[in-house]
Amino acid sequence: MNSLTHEQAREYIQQGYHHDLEALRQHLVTCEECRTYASVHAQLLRELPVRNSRAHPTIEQRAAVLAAGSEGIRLPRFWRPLAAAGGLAAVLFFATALWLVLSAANSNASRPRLPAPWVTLLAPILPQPTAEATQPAPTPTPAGTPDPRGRFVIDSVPAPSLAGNLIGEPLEQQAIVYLPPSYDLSSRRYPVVYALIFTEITWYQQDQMNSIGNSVRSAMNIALRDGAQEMIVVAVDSVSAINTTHYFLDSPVTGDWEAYLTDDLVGYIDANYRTLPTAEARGLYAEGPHGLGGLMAAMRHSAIFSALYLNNPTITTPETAPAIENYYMSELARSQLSNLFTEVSVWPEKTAAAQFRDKLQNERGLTLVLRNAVAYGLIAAPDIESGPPFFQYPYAAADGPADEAVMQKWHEGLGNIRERIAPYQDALRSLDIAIIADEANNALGPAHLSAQLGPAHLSAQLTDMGIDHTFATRTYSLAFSTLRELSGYALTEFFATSLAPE
Amino acid sequence: MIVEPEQFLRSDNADRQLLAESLLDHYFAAIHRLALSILHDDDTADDVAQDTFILALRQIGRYEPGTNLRAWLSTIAVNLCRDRQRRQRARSRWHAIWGGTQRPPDARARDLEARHVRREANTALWQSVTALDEKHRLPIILRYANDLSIREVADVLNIPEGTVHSRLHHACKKLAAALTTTDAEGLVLELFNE
Repeated sequence: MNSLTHEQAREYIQQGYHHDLEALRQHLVTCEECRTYASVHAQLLRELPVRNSRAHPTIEQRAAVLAAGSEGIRLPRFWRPLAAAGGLAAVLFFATALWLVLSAANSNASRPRLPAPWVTLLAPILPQPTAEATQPAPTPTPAGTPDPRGRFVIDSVPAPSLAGNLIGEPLEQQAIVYLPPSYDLSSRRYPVVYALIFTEITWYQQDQMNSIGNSVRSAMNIALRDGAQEMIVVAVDSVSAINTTHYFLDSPVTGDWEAYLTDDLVGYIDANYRTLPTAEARGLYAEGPHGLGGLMAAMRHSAIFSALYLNNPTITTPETAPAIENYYMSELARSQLSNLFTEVSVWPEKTAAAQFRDKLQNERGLTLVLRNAVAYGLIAAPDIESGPPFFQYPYAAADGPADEAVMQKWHEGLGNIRERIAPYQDALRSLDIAIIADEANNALGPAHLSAQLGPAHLSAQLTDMGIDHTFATRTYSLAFSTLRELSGYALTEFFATSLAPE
Repeated sequence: MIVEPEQFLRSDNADRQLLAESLLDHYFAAIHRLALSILHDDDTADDVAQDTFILALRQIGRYEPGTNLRAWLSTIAVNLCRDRQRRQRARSRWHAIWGGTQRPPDARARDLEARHVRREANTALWQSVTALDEKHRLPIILRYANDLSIREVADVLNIPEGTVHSRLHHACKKLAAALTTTDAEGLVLELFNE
C-alpha cells in the first residue's frame, strides 16, 4: 500500500525525515518520477558542494569591512536627496575645475580666458603660465626586483619527532617562512619569531597557508612601518592530520609536537635560512589553544628561546570547569561522542586505527564540537591501550552518569599550571614573557568571561613565584586577533626589543 | 571562542567594529561560497563577499534580530551576484555590438568558470546546473551547493516554501537527464545515512 503522495515523498526526501522510512521506500519502488527526484537529490547533495571557496577574508577584505563597520550613523532618509544633490553639485564643480586646469596646462597659447570668479577660486591650483609640465615618467620596475613587502615561502620541514604518532601525522610538515624586504638584497642574518597561530579547521589547506602567510606579511609590514627591526617569522601549520588542533603538546597519540618545534623546526630553519642561530635572537609567539604548548616549549627549552609572547592562552583552572562542561559535555557533544565511541567499537581491531583516521580526515559531516572534543580528549585524557578513538570521555552513554576520574582529567587538560611551571622557575626567569588576555566584557557572556581567567591565573602564578613578566589586557573581545596582536604589539614592541639584532 | 553576532545585535550600544568582526568570523566562508557557487569566478566572488558585509553593516538597522541572519546576508549576496551577472551580460552585449580586437570582458570570467568547473568533482553536473535558467538554478545552488534548508532558500529568494519545492522538483527533472539513477533501496539508505 503506497500511503505517501508525491509531494509528501519529496518533502520527506528534502527534509530528511527519519520516520516513516518504510512508506518512503515503498513509494520510491513504485513511483519512477519520485525515484528520479530522489536520485538527483542524492547526487546533488554528494557532489554539488563547492570545495574551493575561501574560508577567511583576506587582510584587505577584513580591513574594508571593518572600515564600513566604523562608519558613523547615516543620514536620515529624508536628508539623503539633499545630500545627493550637494554631492552632484560638488562633482560638477570639480569636473569643471579639472577641465579648466587641464586646458590651461596643455595649451599656454590658447589658454581659455577664465571668468574672474573662477580665476580667484582656482588660483591655488592653477599652474603658473611659465611652468612646464616636467614630471618624469615612472621608471618601470625591473623584472626580478624583490617584493618591497618581503615575501613568504611555504616550506616542507622534516619532522622525525612525530614518528610513532597514531593519527597518521606525516613526517614532513609545512611551515610558512616570512622573509623581510632586505633578505634578498643582503647577506645579513635575522632574528626569528616562531608563531603558533591558531587557525580554524579548513578543508583547503593551501588556501589556509597562503592566508596565514599574507597575514604574517601584513603584520610585519605594519610593524616595520612603526620602526620594528626586520625579522624572519615562521608560522607553523597547526592543523593535525585528522583535521583538529594538536595544541603543540607532547602526546602519545598525536605525536611529540614540542620536540618537532624545538628540535626539527628550529634546526631546519637555522640550516636553511640566514637566521641568527642563538636563543637571544629567537622568540616564540603562541595564541589560544597553542598557548600552553608554547609555554611548555619555551620554559623547557630556554636554551632555544629567549622571549615568549602568549596571546590569550587557553588555560584551564577550577573556575573554567563550567565552561569545559558546557562545551565538551553539552547534550549535543555527549550524543555525538557516544555515537563515535559506539561506531569505533565495532570496527575490526586491525583496521580500526586506519578507519578512525579516515573518518576524521575525510568525513565532512562531523560537527566542529565533535572535532574539538576529540582534539581536547586526545590531550586531556589520552588512552592508547583501548584503541580508537584513543581517549577517554566522562560519559560512556549520552544520558548516563559521568566518570568522575575521567571528568577530572578533562578539567585539568590544559591546567595544573602551578605544578607544570614549578620545576622550570629558573628557566622562566631567563625568558622575556608577555601574557595578553581579553578585558572583561559583560556583553560577551559567561563563556567569554571564564576564558579570561586562564591567562590571569597563569600571570598570578608567575607573580607568586617572583617571575618577572608583563601581563596586559585588551579590549578586542572577539577571542583574539592575530594580525592586530602581531602588528600592534608582539612584533612592533615586544620581539623588536627583546630579540637581539645582528 | 567566538561571540555570536546576534549578541551584538541585541545590544543597544554594540560596538560596530566588533559586530563587523563577528559577522566576518561567522559568515564569511558561507557568503564567499555562495557567491562563488553562483558566479564561478574567484575574484568576483571575493568582491561580492566583501560588498555583502559592507552593505549589511550599512543596512544593519533593517535586520530584525531573532530572524535568520545567514539568510538575510545571503539575500544581500544573491542580489549582488544578480547585479554582477546583469552587468556582465550588458558588457557582453555591448561587445557583441561594437566588436573590436580586445577580448570580450567576460572571456576571462568564462576561463575561470571553466577552470572552476574542471576542479569540481562532477563537471557534467555543474555544467547541467549552470545551464538551468535562473529561476531554477538559484534554488538548486542555494540548497545543494550551500546546504541551505528549504526554509532558508525560501527566505533568501523571498518566495514561499511550496514554490521552492516546486522549483527544485522541476530543476531535478531537468537535471535527471545528465545524471545516473540508482535503486530505491540504495537511495533510501544513502539519503538517510542508515
